[in-house]
This record gives sequence, structure tokens and C-alpha cells, in this order.
Amino acid sequence: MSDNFFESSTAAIGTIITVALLSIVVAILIWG
Amino acid sequence: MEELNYQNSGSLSQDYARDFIKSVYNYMFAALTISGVISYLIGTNPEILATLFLTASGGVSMVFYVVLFSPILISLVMAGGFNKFSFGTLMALFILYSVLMGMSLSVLFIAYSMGTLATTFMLTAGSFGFMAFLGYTTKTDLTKFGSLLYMLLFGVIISSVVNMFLGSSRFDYVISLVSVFIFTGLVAYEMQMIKNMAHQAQMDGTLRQKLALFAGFQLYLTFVNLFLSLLRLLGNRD
Repeated sequence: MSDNFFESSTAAIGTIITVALLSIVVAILIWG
Repeated sequence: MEELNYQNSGSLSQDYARDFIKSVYNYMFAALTISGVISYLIGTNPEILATLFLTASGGVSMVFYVVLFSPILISLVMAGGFNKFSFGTLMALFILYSVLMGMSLSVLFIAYSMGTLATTFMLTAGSFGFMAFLGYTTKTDLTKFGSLLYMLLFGVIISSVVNMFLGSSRFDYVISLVSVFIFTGLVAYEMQMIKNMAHQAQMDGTLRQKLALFAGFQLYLTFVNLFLSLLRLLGNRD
């Protein structure tokens, strides 16, 4: 198990959350 | 006549607005609690962590990748199904998202020390609270500022994906620095957006409920993202 692998996965989690955030914002702007 | 009714319902509108913002924060705190508790329970228990995310040979299991990427799908389903799904379904998806995010975030306990995580969390909470207050109280219209930040966010996504292949730690540092700036600014913009949404008294009840849930979701995602950006900045400082 590599600590470095999980440390670099922090960036991946951040990117995934950012995509989720943008989709939620778009939804609010469209439907709200 | 309509204007008169609107004026008479002024205090009622204030109550509606307060209830809306209260709901938004309840959803945000509920999601943060779910993710926080799950990540702590899994992250501080090496046996559960290994069972979930590692293969027999010690490599990273498929489950990790499923847990890591499935939140994208859930958020897209939620965004697309805003009108179609009932409030209960959206709420269930929101809870599922928080659980999966908690599982993903549990790996932070491997990569960072408990002290760094605690300090970063407090720093995030402090910055978030300050910017939310600023966004709520400022008279300046932050709409243009928010649009600019979302455009920058697109750039950050592309840069992050490119850097997954490049693997440059210096580039990662710059991305984290820009991300901290973006997410700190977004808190203020989102708070103002939520405040404006809360004052739309003529909105239908179900729509209002769903929007409060989505706004809570939005703040939760911004909080976690600010936390991760700060963590990458503070954690890499060696």
C-alpha cells in the first residue's frame, strides 16, 4: 500500500467533487 | 394590489427566507457529519480499510475506484433528475453521496497525519464561516465575480486532469493555491446566491425544498473542496 498513491488520490477526489459541484450549480441555475 | 400583498407579506417572507437558509445549513452539516464520521471510522481502522480498498496482493482494489468515481454519476443523476425525482429520492441520493464521499475521504487518514487533518479542518471551517458571513452581509453584487470563479474552476479541472499524467508536484502546488482562492471566493458568492434564492417568497413548496437541498449540497461540496485544497497545500509543505 503506497502512501504516495493515496496522497495523489486527494487531487483526484478534488477533481471529482469539482465536477459534482459544477453539475449541481448548473441544476440550480436551470431549475431554480 | 399585488404590490400591496407583497408588502403585507414582508415579515412572512422574512420567516420563509430564514427557514430556507436554516434548511440549507442543516443539509450541509448533516452531509459533513455523515462523511466525517464514516471517513474517520474507516480511515482509523486499518483492517476495514484494507478489506475495502486493497487486494490480497496489497494492490488497490476495484472497490476503491468505484467508490472514488461513483459520486460523479450520483451528482449528474441528481442534477438531471431535479424535476423528475421526488424530494425523498433526491435526499436518498444526497445521503448516498455523503456516505461514498466519506469512504473516499477515509484514505486521507493514510496520507496525512491526524494533526494536519484537524488543523486544516479548523482552518477550513474558519475561512468558510468568515466568507459566508461576508457573502451574506455585503451589498456588492457578486454575480460577475462568481461567474469568473466558475470559469477558473473549469481551468482547474483541466489542469488537474493534465497533471494526473504529468505528476508534477510543483504544478499540483500551483493548482492547490489557485483552488484555495477560487473556493474561498465561491463561498461568498454562493452564500449571496442562496440568500437571494431564499427571498423568492412566491416559490412553490416542493421546489423550495429541493432547492434548499441542492444549495446545501453545493455548500457541502465547496467546503470539502476547500478542505482538500488547503490540505494539499499544507500537507505538501515539507
